[in-house]
Amino acid sequence: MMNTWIVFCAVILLVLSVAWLFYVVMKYGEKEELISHMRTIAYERIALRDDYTIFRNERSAIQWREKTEDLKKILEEASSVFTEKEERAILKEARDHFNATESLFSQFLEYEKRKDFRRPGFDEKEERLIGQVFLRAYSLRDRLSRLHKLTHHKLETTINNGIIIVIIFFIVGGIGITINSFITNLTISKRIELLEVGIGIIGQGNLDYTVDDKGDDEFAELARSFNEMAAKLKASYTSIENLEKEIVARKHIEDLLKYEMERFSILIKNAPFGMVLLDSQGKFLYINPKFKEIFGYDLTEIPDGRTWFRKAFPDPEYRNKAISIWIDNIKAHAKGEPRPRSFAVTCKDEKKKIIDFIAIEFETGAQIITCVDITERTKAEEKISQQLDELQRWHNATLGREMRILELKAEVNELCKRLGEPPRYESAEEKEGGETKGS
Amino acid sequence: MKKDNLQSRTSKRKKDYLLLVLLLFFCVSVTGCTPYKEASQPEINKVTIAYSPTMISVLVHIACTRGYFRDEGLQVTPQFHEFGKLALDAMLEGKADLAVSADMPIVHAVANGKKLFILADICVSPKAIGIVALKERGITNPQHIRGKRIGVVFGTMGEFLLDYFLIMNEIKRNEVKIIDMKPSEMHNALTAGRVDAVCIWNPHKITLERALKDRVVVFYDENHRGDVGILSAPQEFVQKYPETVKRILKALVRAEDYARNHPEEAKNITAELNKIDRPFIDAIWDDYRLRVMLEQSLIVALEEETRWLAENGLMKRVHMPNYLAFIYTEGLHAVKPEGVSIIRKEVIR
Repeated sequence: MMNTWIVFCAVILLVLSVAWLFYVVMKYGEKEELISHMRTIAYERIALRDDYTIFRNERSAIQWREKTEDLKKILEEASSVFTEKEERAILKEARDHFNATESLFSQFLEYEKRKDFRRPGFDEKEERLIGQVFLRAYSLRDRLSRLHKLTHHKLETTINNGIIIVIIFFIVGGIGITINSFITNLTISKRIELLEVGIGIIGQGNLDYTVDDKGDDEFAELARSFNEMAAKLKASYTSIENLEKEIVARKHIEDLLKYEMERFSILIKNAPFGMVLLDSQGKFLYINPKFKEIFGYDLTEIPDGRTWFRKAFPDPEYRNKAISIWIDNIKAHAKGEPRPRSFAVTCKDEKKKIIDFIAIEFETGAQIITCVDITERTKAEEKISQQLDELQRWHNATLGREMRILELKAEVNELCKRLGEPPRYESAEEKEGGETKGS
Repeated sequence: MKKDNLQSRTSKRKKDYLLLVLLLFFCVSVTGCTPYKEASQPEINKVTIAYSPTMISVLVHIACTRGYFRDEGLQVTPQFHEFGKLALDAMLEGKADLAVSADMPIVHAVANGKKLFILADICVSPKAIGIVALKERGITNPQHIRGKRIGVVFGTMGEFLLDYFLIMNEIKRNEVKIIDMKPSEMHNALTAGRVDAVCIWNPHKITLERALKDRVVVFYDENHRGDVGILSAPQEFVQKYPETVKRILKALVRAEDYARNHPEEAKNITAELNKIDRPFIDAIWDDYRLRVMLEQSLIVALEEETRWLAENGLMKRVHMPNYLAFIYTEGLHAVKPEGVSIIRKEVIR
């Protein structure tokens, strides 16, 4: 990134330098052209001046004046082109010398008008004027030459400086890129080393290790990604560990469940009562061996409650009654509450048995029903009931005669008392008192 | 075993070659890095420069004051004279090694067969010399000079410019009375009525203007090149000590840069040299161009002045001297090539 910036800056500076160089070259080119024009006119003026000085013809004087006007305009124009201090100083001197030549030679021309043009040679004044014109003309030439040299020198200096600047940009840019590359290499090596160390540590299983991710470069991003990856790896590793633990736990639970199921199965299979499990639709899911023993049916014969009722209660009247009682019983009890009820059930072998049912409906709608054959017990109870009835009757009969004996003994004792004789029979009260005293 | 010995010898030989190459490289480098020293030329460190406390000597005085000569390893002793002609005379008499004067004394010297070299033109001003005339004597324009008495220092640029002024205004020399006098006498001469006008250079000109204020009018001819300051030395001295000359010129080029870049400080030095107040210097400073040059126009000026001398019968020689033989361009060309614009044969390689 840094190298890209260095190259970008170098290119921008290079473009600006070249543009500036182009501008300066154009500017100095314009100046050189102007100086060249001035020098050309200055030389034309010298030729015309000499032409007049030697031959005194009006034509050359007119041409000299025209060229003088031209040079004056160009010198004025040059004031806005040559703006640097040194240039302005030289240009000012050039203008002074130009003005002097114009003034002196104009004086010469004016003086000449008053003379006979055929008269040869110069008088004293003409000599002085021409002498100063020559002197000033040389000075003007010197100033224009100096201005030209100065402009050319500045142009050369500018071009050289421009080339040096371009070379400096290349060198500085190259040095910058080299230094940056060197530093970057060092940094990269160091960072890579750190990453390698980190990979090694994490590879050894230390998922808590984090690589230094300070900074705002690609390596900091890489380090952050690496740390994120390690964190995810750690999370994933933890998940697997948890899953393994869960599997172990589940297996344990399954073992327990299996054990419980086995126990439950043993219990169910060996239960001294019949048991049936129905789903919420009334389908028979399971019956235990005792059930089959009691009723003689297996699961294929009584797949659902409807079949059960039809087979267990072949008498439609009794069956309807049983169903009605069954439904009322369900309505009368909450879910989870046992619903005991006894019915006379016809078994597979056509025998009738008195069965004590206890049904419990779960929240899911499934039901479990236990069945206890109470036929023998019912019969025994009926027999006991009959015996009790007989005993009651005998009791009632024996209980009246005892009371009459007691009454007769009491009457004998009364009669004895009336006769003044001692009681013949011990009374019930005395008997109770004597027992109390004796105890 | 034999093979091992051979390998050892070859390896040793390679090391010897390497050492030899390194030694050669070192020798070449050291030789290459040692600055080339030209064959030593005789030099003189103690130099006396004669100059006047006037504007034409400002660069020399700046170089002395700022220690530029000392920086060049020279011990320069200033030798002051009232005006440039006297300074040049002192040099020609062997009392000084170099002198600063205007061009007219040099023309006189060359005309009188003196062997000297012009080293540089160090100052020029078209307004340096003017004619200060008293209004109370009826002088308000150049034509009023006719019939008046004019004071001037003979043999100087003052005399030449006065003559030029008269010619330009078509006043014959016999229509005025020209009186030779020193610059220091001019103020009294004017106020006492011994002269009606004087032709004089700065700082005397500005001192008179400021002293007499509205009583005077000053005439210039701005088209004339005016006063100049020329540094010259005997040809023998230059030929004997060309390096010393280069050092002197180098110091003057530094003084030129200083005057251009630090005008306020340069004005202070100038005020001290001319022994006049700073406001006087401020008033005339822009009229002067302080630069170290050798221009073609200098030759034209020298020749013009020579013709003037000849026309006035002031020189012994019959022929116009070749002033190229009296101008030493090598010195300035060595330290400031752009300052030399005298037309010479180009050395085409």
